[in-house]
Amino acid sequence: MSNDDFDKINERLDRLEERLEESHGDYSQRAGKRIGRDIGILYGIIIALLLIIVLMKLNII
Amino acid sequence: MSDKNEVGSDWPFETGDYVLGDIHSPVAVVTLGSNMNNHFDNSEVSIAGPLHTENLGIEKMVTNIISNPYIRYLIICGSEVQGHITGKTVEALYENGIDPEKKTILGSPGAIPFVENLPVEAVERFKDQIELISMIDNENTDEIDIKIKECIENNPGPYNEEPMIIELNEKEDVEENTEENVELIEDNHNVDSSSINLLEIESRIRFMKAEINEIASLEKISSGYYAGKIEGIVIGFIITIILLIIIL
Repeated sequence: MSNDDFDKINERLDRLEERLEESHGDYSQRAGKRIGRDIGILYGIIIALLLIIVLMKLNII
Repeated sequence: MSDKNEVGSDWPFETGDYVLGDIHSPVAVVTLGSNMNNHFDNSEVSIAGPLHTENLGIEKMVTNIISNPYIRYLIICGSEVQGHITGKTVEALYENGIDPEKKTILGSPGAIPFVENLPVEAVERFKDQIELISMIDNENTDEIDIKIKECIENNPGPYNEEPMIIELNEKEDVEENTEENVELIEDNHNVDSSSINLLEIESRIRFMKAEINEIASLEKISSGYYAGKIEGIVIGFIITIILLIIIL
């Protein structure tokens, strides 16, 4: 293998490595967001129910 | 016991970072990247020590083993050496042997698996004389001790041939040193050791890079989790309010 061939392969590997890192980052972020949203929905329901209960106790509703 | 099998007091012939126990024991232990010399010092094994390189290290190990016919079991344990993959290389040597012309260990995953100072007969003798027991990545000394005891109980007796003594070229070179070629030999040794050191450094950098990527990945998950949670709270709150308004 000549030096030029080696350099070309190295460049391609560098590009692949960059793309892999980006994809890995995006995938991790999406996975985190999905878990966070599911848990957040539960939090939102609880907050809304508590708010309704408080407002009913105060005869506002 | 016939005299032809007798091991001299000058055994082992090759120097290295090893400890000796009972030189008539049938067990030799290679601890790869782990240093367990304190555990095996003066124990019931014949010889024990780490094995860092898949070329010079293996040459020395084979030379010391075939020069002691009492050794019939070789236990490979301890953590695998990153980059050199010496444990798997010894397995490949035992299973596949070497290429007689290129002197490469066939099927080795190591970086530079050349045993140029070992003749094919030495490798064949090594394969015949010992039984390989693989416990790679096992550092549990209790489990290793149990295996050693099993081997001693099943000892088939010394190998039925005289000790095979190989003089590695490295030693001859040193013996034949003259003032003129001292510098040249030192240069050669520097090249060998520096390329091995470079591999070691490269594998450590790779390991650190993987760790950094893992941390970055965790950070991404964490930031995604936070953003998703806020979004989820808003969605959950609005849906609940709408449902309650419809119901009430």
